[in-house]
Amino acid sequence: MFEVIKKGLETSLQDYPGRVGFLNQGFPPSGPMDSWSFRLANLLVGNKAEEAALECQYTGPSLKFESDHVIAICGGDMQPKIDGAAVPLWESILIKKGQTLELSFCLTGARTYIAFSGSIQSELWLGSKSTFHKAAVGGIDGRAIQEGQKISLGNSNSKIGKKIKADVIPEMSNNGVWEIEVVRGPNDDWLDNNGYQTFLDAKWKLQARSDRTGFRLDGPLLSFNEKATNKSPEHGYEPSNIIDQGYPIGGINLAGQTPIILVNDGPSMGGFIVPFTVPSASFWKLGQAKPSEYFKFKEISVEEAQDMRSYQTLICSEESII
Amino acid sequence: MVKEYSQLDLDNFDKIKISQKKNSIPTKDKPYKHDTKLLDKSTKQVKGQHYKQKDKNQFSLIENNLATSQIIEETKYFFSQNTIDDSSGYRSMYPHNIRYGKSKIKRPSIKVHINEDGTSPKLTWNNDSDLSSEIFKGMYDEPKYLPGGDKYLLVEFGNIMSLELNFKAQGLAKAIEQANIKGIYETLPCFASMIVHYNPDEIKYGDLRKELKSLVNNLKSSDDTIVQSRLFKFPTVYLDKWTKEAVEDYTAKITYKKPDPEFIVELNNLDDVEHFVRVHSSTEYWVASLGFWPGLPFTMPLDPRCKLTAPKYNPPRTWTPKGAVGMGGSSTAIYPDKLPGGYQIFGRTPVPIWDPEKRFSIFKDSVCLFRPGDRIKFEPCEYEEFESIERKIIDGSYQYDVMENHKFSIKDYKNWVTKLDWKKKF
Repeated sequence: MFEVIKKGLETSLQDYPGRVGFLNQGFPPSGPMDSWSFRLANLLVGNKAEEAALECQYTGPSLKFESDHVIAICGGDMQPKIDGAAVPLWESILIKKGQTLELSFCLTGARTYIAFSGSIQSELWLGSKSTFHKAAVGGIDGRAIQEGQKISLGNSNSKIGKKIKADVIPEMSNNGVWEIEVVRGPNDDWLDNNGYQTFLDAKWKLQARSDRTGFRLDGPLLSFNEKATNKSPEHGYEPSNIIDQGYPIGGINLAGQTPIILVNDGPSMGGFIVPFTVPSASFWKLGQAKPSEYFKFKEISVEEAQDMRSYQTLICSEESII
Repeated sequence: MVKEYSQLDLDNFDKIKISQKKNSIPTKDKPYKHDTKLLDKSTKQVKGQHYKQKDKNQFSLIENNLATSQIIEETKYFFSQNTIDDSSGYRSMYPHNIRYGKSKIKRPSIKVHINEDGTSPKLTWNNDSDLSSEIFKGMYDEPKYLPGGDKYLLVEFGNIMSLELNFKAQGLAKAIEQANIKGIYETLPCFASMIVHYNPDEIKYGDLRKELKSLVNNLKSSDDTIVQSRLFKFPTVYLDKWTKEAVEDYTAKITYKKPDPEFIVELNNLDDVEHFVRVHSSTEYWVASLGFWPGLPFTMPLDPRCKLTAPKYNPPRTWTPKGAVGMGGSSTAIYPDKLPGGYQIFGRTPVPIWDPEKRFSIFKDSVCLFRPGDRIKFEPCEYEEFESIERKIIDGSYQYDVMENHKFSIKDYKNWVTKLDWKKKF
């Protein structure tokens, strides 16, 4: 059990891969944005990679423990301390009864995951413990953790001092520019060649108004094909309007002229085109990017994206623990 | 080609934002201070290049409302910022990012599309077409298989909104379920397309595509499809005060538009709003898909004589009353909660369509009321009935008006359509 002393900016319970199987009722998957760090954190404390852990965004929480527990912190560097003494990331550590774990703002990256041996006790909601804030469901009371809340932990024996092999730790950008892989489609033929090239050549700035629903980007204007400018009224006025369709998570939605990357809590359906999609293996970079940083997109094929994912699944395993 | 606002305009947006922030959500009792003065009703430009300064000022309000959106109290933006420009919250968190004593915050630009020749994009209205022959058209010879990253595949059957395409999408979704293909997590059938969510660790894109192609080729004509379908009746106040208020609020703060029911009357050559209500409430609606928000149904009229068309809002509304009934394209939807939205709205129902607490037994299997393939009938009612139902909802005694275990045969449906009296006036 621990008590929430400070809640942080938005600290929520997530599990991997989230709420799968309810897309046709309008539920997004939710789940951790950087599932790479998330899974490694769980493995360090002896949990299954999928189990529920806390996702901290930008500024982490302070948690006071009421019993000894093994935890691991992975992801962005929120300068974690136990009773004022710095503790390492990417390592299983012991926190004792009465001690306080304190995270502050993120020096590198944007999201950090705290995993607890035996995981967090919470009810499944539609098959998942992930929080979906917008509809206030899942997680702990459907929302981010609150000050004064007491949260129960499971029990399991796990060792301290376990580490992650250095070469499988995700490397955060140090210059504020992230190269993000994209796969062309599903609606790439609505842009003309010029629009397509502009998208890939540009440096896109992540707007402050971005959350777990969507990441808004600022950048150049894109141009369209005839298909987009001459169509039946069911589609809508804007060239980027299309008859409502299902959205892939990771889809780069063109709302008017503002690209919005639909992320874990994004809408399942809507009436804008999706010319490119960020594949799942690149999601950790979205999760670790801060507003005002830049995205540069690199086109890869579906097969390459699937190979990247297989590799990531491979390294998010016991093999990476030493 | 796109028109962008100048830095001067953007600076002006910011000024107005600061002075009007506290007054951004007006109510009827407390009208918005600048309501009438700011809005020049003669400026009916919706699309673009001729916005007057006053209109542009309104945009900052939209942006502001989006940023401080009150959809649900739990809606959060990182940093708890008040406006999109308010980055002060995170500046102190990242001291290394502060390079200058006084940093100029750049506002995100507002961009509106205009064509090369300076005109706005046009929509092709086809009012003369023979509806009876059009209803089952619009399918591609071969569906398109389009990748959505490494985990999604979109099958597009056509590019118009027609029942036939949705039957096809629902038919394929059913076939996939029965084929039990390893690695497919779930499907989401939409109007003219269907998206598949799969696990590439179990099935690769190329293989999935092959599997789907063979399923599509073996799909019997949708005529042979029989769908489990329930019929729900929804008491609805048409031309109600709540949606009217939302539209007036939009007109006051965002841009002028003709009231939604009148707009639909004009576009669809109807006599008047009463005629519209008769047409809209005379048919059952087919739940084509659920999406955008938990439980939100996208539906299409089953009686082709009642098919109406209307474009979506541009730009979208920042709020819509819970239970509002609206249409966009040829689709009718019910808003499960107070949400932003783009459909033309004209009615409101008191009956909840999603219930995370499962207070009503109808939600025992799912927190969302509808399943694709259900049908909805809107029953016009008066305010008294609305309020009486609302009270029953609150005390938990309301009984959903539903007919279960219907079987919907597409073949029978098509037969019925061919025998319709097209001269009937609603």
